[in-house]
Amino acid sequence: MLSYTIQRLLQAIPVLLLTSLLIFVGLRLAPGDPADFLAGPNATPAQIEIVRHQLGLDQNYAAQYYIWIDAVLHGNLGKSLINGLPVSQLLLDRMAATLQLAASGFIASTMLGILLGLISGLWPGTIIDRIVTFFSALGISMPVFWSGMLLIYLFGVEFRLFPVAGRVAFSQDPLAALKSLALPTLALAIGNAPIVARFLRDGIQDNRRAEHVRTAVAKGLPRWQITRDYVVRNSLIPVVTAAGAKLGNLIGGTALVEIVFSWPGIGSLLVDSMGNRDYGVVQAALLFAVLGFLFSNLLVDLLYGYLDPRVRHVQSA
Amino acid sequence: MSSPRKDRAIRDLGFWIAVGILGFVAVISLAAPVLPIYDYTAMHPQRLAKPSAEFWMGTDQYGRDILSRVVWGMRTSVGVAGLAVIGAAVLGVPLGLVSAVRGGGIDVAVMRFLDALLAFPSLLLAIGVSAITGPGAFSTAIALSIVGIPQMARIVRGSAMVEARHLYIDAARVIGASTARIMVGHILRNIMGPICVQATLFFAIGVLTEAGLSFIGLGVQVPLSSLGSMLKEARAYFTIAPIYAIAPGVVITVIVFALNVAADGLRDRSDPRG
Amino acid sequence: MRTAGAKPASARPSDLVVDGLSVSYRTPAGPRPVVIDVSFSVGAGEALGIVGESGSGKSTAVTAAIGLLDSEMAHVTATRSTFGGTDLLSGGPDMLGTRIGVVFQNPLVALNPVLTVGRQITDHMRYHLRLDASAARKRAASLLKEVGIADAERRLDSYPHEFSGGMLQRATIAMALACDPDLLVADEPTTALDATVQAEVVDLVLSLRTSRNLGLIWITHDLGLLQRVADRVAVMYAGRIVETGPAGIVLNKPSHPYSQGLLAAVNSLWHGDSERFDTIPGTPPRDLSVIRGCAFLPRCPRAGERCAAERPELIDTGRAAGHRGACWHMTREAST
Repeated sequence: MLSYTIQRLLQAIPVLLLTSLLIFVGLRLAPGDPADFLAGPNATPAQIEIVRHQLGLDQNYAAQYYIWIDAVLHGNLGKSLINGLPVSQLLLDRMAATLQLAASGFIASTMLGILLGLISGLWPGTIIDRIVTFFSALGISMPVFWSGMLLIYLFGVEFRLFPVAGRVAFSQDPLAALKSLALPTLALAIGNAPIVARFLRDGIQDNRRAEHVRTAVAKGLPRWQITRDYVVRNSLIPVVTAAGAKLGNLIGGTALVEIVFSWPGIGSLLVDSMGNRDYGVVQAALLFAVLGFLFSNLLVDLLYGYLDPRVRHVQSA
Repeated sequence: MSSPRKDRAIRDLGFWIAVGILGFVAVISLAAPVLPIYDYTAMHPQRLAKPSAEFWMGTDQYGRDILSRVVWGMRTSVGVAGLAVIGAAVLGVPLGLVSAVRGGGIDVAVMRFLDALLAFPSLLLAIGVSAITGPGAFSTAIALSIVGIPQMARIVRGSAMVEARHLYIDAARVIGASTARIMVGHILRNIMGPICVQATLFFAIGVLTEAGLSFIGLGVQVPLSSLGSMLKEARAYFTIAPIYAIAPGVVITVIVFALNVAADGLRDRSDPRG
Repeated sequence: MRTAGAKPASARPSDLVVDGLSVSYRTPAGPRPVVIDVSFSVGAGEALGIVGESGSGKSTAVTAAIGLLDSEMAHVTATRSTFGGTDLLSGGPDMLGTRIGVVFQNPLVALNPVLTVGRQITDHMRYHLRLDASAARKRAASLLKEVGIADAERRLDSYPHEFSGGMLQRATIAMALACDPDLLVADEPTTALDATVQAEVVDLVLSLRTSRNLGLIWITHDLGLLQRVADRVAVMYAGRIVETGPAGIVLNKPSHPYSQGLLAAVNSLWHGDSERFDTIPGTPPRDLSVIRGCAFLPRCPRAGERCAAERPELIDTGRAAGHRGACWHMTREAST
């Protein structure tokens, strides 16, 4: 198990490097002069030159890249144009909020998806299956920010059950924190649960016909036990990867949900700073987002390895 | 419990309804300039009016007719997504084919690069590319294309490799430089099914992603408007003029829903039967 | 806990009797017959071999008879299918797992990959015998020892993919015997194994049969294997039994032209020169519903007019007790 973990960590490094390279190159390709951007709209030509020298932009690209990576590894991500705060500070402040939302969205999507998938899978062709399938298809067709808006209107304004914007930290007031988390999480779940549900449903259908189920019948086990131990159990394991495979969706969705609900996370930071042309923040936030994405992928992979004994043993063999 | 025959009939019906809806959308989008609707930029004196006989969906905060804005927004959204699909196909299909047929070092290099791109969540990738290409409808289409190329290329490569395996034994006996061209042509014809399915699915992703980008402010810019940018503006007026925020969302949902159903139907048709 | 030694003669009846069994699959194109009017029986402690090519219906017939087929996929009818007098087809499979144990062809696929082998041996044991976890585990460990798996305790906690093919099939046999059944049904249990391992598994089953006084049904396409294993043999072709009787006769001097063809093919493979591998020309029929007359007609060296018009029923050959064949032109010896 340990060797599997290390293997996966090592595999992630080249991807990370490649990604940082892409971000770096991408930014250099952007129209305009980075030093001009990073110095701010009111800088004089002399100031721009100073910034250019400070940032090492007068050196060749390879040196620049090295300087940037070196800075990143030392925790120095530059400063924001707008308020001059160190970017790393901004990111840290907001990271907790985004992690919270993303994690709760993931858990809610997976749980709701499993519930819907079980219903659909165990009673296929029935009315309830058709209803579930229909609403699943609807869920992934709705833009996540629109579902957010609808939820705000429905639960926040009409029925006044939940707050419509902002975030309350758990440290302040757990109950209010949960309430502020509720609608954004639901918006994410509506968009992502159907994917999990569909996957589980298909998995159950496949496993039903599997040979090991026939063996279980030949052993005289009761139907419910066969369904539990030989069908559902086998189908749940790949669900973890399915849920994880769509992490990209979830992260993208998180950014949009943050905006709709004024949730102070990295996603809304990214978008705000793009609008403000605060490229230092954009660069760092993108890198951070990708890092988080890769890390959560790794976690999902490890979880899958833990759950499926075949993977565990193949990797360590 | 229902029979497989009833299932199939329902799915067929669903497929054709979806195709009908998409056809309708296409026609309306193309015909928008000549449709008997208001000019979507024209500002009328009535601001945020309720739906009435004069303005079927009411007006927005500038007095513009919402219905015509929805129609033109749909035209823009569909147009941008459509361009993206074409772009992704035009670049992704050859890339996947070359990778599959050539194999070896090229294949490995291409796949690694595509994997790195696929590693990005699509919205983030689109945002990232938009940062380079700048905002606006056309550059959004480019950004979406770039998001779509790895997806297309991967599917094409996978299917092409399966097809090529079938051909391999025959091709081994054919001599001549035209072999490659024959192989590619044959493979291409046989993988049209999966390509169409993927293109349809990507269309749906394109519509949703464009809406997201425009909602953020990075997509289409004024004076053009897409369904996503409409929702951005409508947000503030939800309580006063709900239809302003609901209508564009409904249109997006219907289009994406229909695209997903159509893709499922295409998959059924191309897989076991074809 | 069963000890070595024969079962007392006054044990409960454990004979399998199947009469007039027919199975047809429900397909979108309509019902497709795969087994037609098959009858066989296995007395207590007796070993029946069922042999035939792929598609002859041999596996389907037996699995249907013991009530293992999914009624959604297949339509099963029989005049009678009982074990020890109790009906096997009327919805309640009480016999499966308790008095009838089944071993399938490919153990890696037949077992659940995400459950330990120990768990799969004990779960039905605990359900049927109401044992607690530790008692079940002890019993499972001794079963593994009985089938020749060393290090049984540790093996209980291993997963199927950690076993070699032969070992895993032994474990499957242990699983089938967990609740002390009287009849063991083995559906091509050695087909997926290497030749050396095959022999070991055959040895194992034979010794278990003796020590536990098991009835046995062994389904295979391998004639040679049944020489060692079976008391009686039934040969199936195109969904019907075409010859049945004592193993010595059916496997060495069969009467039906199909059985003779099979035997000639096996013999030429092992003893003939490699130039002349005798095969039966042609292939078995796919669609059994359109056959008029004898199904073997297109491939039969002795085909005559009567064969096309009238399908031969199983009749006594007169050569030995219980030896029957379905042919209008049966001979005493194998034809050259």
